This record gives sequence, structure tokens and C-alpha cells, in this order.
Amino acid sequence: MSTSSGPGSVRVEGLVKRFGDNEVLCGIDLAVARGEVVCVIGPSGSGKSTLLRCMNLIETPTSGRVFIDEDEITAPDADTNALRSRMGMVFQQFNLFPHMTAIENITVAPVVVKKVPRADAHARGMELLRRVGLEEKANENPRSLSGGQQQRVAIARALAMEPEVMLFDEATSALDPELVGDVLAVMRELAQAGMTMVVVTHEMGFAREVCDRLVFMDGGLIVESGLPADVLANPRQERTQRFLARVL
Amino acid sequence: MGTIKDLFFSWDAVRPVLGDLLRGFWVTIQLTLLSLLFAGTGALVLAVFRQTRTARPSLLKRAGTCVMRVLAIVYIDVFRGLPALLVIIMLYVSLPFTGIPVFKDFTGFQVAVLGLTLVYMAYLAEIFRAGIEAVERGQVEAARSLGMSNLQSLRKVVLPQAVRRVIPPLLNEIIILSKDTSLAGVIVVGEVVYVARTSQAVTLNSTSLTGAAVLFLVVTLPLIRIVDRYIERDRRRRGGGRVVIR
Repeated sequence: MSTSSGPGSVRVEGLVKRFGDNEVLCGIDLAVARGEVVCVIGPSGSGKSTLLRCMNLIETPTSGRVFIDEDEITAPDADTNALRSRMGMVFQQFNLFPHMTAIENITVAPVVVKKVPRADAHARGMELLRRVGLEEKANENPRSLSGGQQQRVAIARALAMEPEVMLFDEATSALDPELVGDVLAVMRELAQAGMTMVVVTHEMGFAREVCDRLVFMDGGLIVESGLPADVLANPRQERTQRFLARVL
Repeated sequence: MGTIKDLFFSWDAVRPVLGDLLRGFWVTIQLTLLSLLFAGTGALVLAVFRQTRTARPSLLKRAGTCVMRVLAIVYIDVFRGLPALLVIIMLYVSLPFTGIPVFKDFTGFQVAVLGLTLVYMAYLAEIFRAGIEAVERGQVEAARSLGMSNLQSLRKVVLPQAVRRVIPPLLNEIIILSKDTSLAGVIVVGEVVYVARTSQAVTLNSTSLTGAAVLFLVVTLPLIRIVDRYIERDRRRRGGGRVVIR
């Protein structure tokens, strides 16, 4: 797979995000090495989605800095759009464009943003659809696809920009249980291909098997992080223990 | 009964003015389409200005979008609150004395298009705004996360969906606009109502007015049916219910 080449490390320094008086992120430091897969778990409201959304500036951080490789995306004079296109994002609600077919969803950004010739974008898009197992759905509307299929198209759409890093924001949380597997399979394949990934998830099985490092967040802070087997089996912090006791 | 038939439905009375009526109706159609084109384009821009917010820390950019938004709001509010007839008359009687190049030499027809455009821009902007507001936030987030600029995501993602959602109210507004073109008659533009009224004044027979009415219905009735069908399709797609009275 071609996505394993090229740089792709992300670093977050002292990230703080406040919504009014509500401090959702209270100073997060996180460095993700190239090719590393980091899973972020934690109770709802712990700030894990906000962390991901701050990483590509869908939410503007209150303070702190975000780097992709050595380029600071939070710098005042940064070319936000260009830096953002180096990070693919997959959303809980898929957010496919409903007025476009599956293949159009995938080709629109390369054509509009990167000025890739339409034919090339289409060929690459079909290749991506094949990779997520949906080649025959190319000309379908998102509405006629199942949730799992929609999410796989959304992953292909993000990959079409050839990102260096992929961010997954609870990518399987809105899916029926029997549809989760296909999406996780695509994510697992990506991880094995060497893609740098930050995955916010409730899928403990996926976290255990696929990720290199597990981060547990609570109350806007990283409480604990380490090898997934260690964190899941022998959590050191009391808050982690309590959370895991509930979900495992 | 005989009188009414002679007064409103006399073929002999309308035959000599039929050509004039059709020519007048062509003017009506031109007024409608040109005003629609200009007002529609302007309204999209207005609606976007009205909805623009920036999260950029730059104070200058923030001030810029704020000024744009306030100007758009003021424009929309003022022109929604004014009768189109008043606007058209004001333009007609004052433009020649303003000395503004091009505008001062406007014909009655051009003044009418300008007046209708100014007013309908405000109406249509409100419709587009509703459409823009109905597009989920996640759509913009997805577009921006793919590296699209604000303008690119607006053009490729937000506006196509926004316009699609407001087609029924948009068509309604087009129907109203086509009828409001008759206001241009006040400034002696030879649209169909003006022509029909003039001929009625000469012949003292109202059939020419009936003719104008028929010509309008030929265009507006299909549009009305289309709106209904759209609404019905929308209702079915959303699974909405009918009102059943037992």
C-alpha cells in the first residue's frame, strides 16, 4: 500500500480547549510517531473527541500547539487548509456528501483542492473503493448504502487526499454491531500498512489487537498511557480501573 | 349571463389585440427571468455574507466578516420591509437625476428589472439562508477536514445542498415574482397587464384582461403543481404523515 511511505508524525503540546467556562481539555501533551497507532479511550465527556477535533483545527484550540512533522498547524500564519489535508479525518456520523455518489465523494477533494485531473482522481478513487471492498457501489448515493458501507466510503474519501495521518473519531459508534467488523477490518489493514493513526474508540478488542499505545483520558487530561495489554490488564490509575471495570 | 360572457369572454373583442397581448407577455417573461437571474445570484452572495462567521484569531478578518454580516442584515431587513412598487417608482423618478453613469440612462424596462432585483434579492436571500442553515455542521467539517477552503466547501458542499432543500419555497417566490412584474406597468413598461388594461380602456371590453389572466395561468399553474409534487415527495421521503380528518 502506498500510504505507508512519507512522513507522518503528530505532536500536541499543552493543548487547552475551553467552551465558555467549561474547560474540556486541560493541557494535553501527546506525541505520535510516524506509523504509530494510538488509541484514545475514556468516558464520554472526557475530551477525547475534542482532542481529535483540535488536532486538525475543526475546533480552534484555546491555547497550545499542534505539529504535523515539524510544521505547526496552530501557527497564526500557517496554511491551515494545506496542513489539514495532510490529516485525514473519519467521523462518527460519516458525514458523506449526500448530493454526490460514492465515487464523487472520494474524488471531489483531490480535484478541487489538489487540482488532480478528473480521470486520475477517478482511477485512484476506484482503487480506494476496491480496497475498502465497495467497488460495485461507486455510483450509488450514500443514502442507499448501509452505515458500515458509508463509513468505509468515508475512509476511502479521507485516504484519497493521501494523508500522512488518519484521525478516527468513534468511527464505529454509530454502526449496528454486525457492521462494525468490516470497518474495523479496513482500519486494521491501514494500521498494518504503516499509517500513523489516532483512534478514538470504544472498541476495546480493536485497541488491544491493533494499537501500539493506549491512552486513557478523563476530565480533559491524559490519565494513563502505555502498551494496550498493560493498560487494559493492569491499569495503574484508579480512574482507569473504574472505567475499565465498567466497559470490559 | 349574456353580458358577462360578452364582457369577459368575447373572442371578437380580443382577436385584434392578441398579438399585443402575446408581445406583452413576452416582456413579462423577460422581466421575470432577468430579475430572477440577478436577484438569485445576488441573494446567494447576500445569504452567504449573512451567515459568515470566522474562527480565525485575526482581528481584521473578524471585523471584516462582522461588517459584511451587518451590511447584509441591514439590506435584507430594509428591502423585505419595502413595497416593490415604491422601490420601482422611486428608482424611475429619481435615477435620471442622479447623474450616475449608465443608471441615469436606464429605460423603464431596465428600471423595473433593477427594482424587482433589489427587492427579490432580499426575499430570496432569506430563503437561501434557511437552506444554508439546514445543512448539517458535519458537512462543513468533513469538507474542511479534506483541506477544502471556506469558499471551496461553500461551493461544492454547502450551497448545492442548501439550494436543493429550498426548491419549493424558491419556486413559490418565482411565482410571486412573475406576478409582481405587473408593477412595471406603473412606469409604462409594456408588460402583459399594462397592455391588457390599455386595450380594455380603448374597447371598454374586459376580454383582453381575461387573456392576460389566461397567459399568467398557463405559466403559474404548472409551477404550482411542481411545488406541490416536490413537497409531497419530500414528505414521503421524510416519512411525514397526512392530516387525516375523520
